[in-house]
Amino acid sequence: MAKRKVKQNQDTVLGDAILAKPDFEQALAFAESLTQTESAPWVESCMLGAAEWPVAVTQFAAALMPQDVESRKVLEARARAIAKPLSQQQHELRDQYLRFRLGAVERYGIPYAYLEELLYVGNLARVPCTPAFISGVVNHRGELLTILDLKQFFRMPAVAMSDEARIIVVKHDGMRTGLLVDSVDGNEAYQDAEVSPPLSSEGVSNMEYVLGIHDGSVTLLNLKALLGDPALRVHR
Amino acid sequence: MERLPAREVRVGRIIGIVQVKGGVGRSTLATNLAAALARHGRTALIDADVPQGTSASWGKLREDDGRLGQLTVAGVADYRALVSKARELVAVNDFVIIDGPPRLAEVTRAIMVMSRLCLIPLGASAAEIWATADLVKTIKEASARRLDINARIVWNRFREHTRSARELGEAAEKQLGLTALHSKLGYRVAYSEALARGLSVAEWPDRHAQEEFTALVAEIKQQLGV
Repeated sequence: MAKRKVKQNQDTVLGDAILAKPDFEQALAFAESLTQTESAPWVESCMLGAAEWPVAVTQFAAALMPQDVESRKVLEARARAIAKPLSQQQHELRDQYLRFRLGAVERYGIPYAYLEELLYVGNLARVPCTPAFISGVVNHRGELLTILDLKQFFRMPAVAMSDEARIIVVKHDGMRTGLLVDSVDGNEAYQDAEVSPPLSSEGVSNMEYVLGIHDGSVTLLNLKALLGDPALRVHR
Repeated sequence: MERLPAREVRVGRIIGIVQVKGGVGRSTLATNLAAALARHGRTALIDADVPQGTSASWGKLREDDGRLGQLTVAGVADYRALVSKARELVAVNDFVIIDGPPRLAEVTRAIMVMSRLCLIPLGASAAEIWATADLVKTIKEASARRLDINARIVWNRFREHTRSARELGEAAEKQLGLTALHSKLGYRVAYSEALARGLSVAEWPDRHAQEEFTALVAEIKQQLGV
């Protein structure tokens, strides 16, 4: 009797097809159909060999190309990515980065490869005689974790810390460091070809620590350079 | 403790949590739902958002504190591993909850087809609603292939008392053509605080959060016919 009641209840909520779930084979087939997408006609037309272009088009395109080496390198990388068949583009492994804010507006990212975990800002203990960009240390599972204030490090204006503030734990060369940020927004996928060279007007003054700009407004940080900075190393 | 009839246990129920935008509360929903359902039966939580692994990390904290009980937590790196793990866990659990990645990849598509109930957490912001339009396209694509996807919006970080949130919510449901569950999760610190400690809101001292999540679980169980 109880079983019949349960069954009736299901029928009123879900259809027969849903009741038959899970269908693992169909799930696999539907997942894989994403990579079987045919190239759109416009992609095919973009892939005409350069030899087939009228001379005037080639000259016009050459005149529009930026002349500096760095920009040309980025454009060439993008062109190579776009020229791939659509299915190959979708299937290519994309890296991810964690997006966060310094201040209320400036958005930054660090590649996932360095990411260990996110922490709430708990009992941050100041350490005497350390530079201003060292916020202090926290006890992280019995280990002392040094916390780097990224705003101070980049000489950005200080703002009061809110409840949104977090510590991003990163690891490089076997060393764990906590990065103090004003909020963590989420994560994004990116490919190297989508990262444009940084402009000198970006918020960060130490340009050697910038990998590039993604999505027009997210400054991707070069953690290898940043964590390798002599100012962060003891005994030097 | 409430146990399911033997026939129902064998079938198992997969609940997928998908959203292509990050930071909308997928893991909050997945972990709290896992903790709540584990009080009623054997439950597995699969974290398909690796390497971020928020749900898996939550599970580890919970395991370290000896709080897992009837809950099993697993992580998978790709859609083949996911389908294989879901197949294995659904045979021995009453509920399998899958926390999807924040992108419309193969993993998300597999979750949508496998799940008996697909929950789409959504905050009342334009960016989140735009992102959900892509999920709706996938649901339509599945429907064209005669695959039924039973998807429901779960309003998260909802400010019940603001008119704009209510209006935006109603407009979004109409525009996306998706039905929302009646229960909504409010904008509460309890969710992030509990998540960070390997707890659920039922184990965190915020009565409002506890009540609204209990109502949500009851509605989800009703949807599943439990």
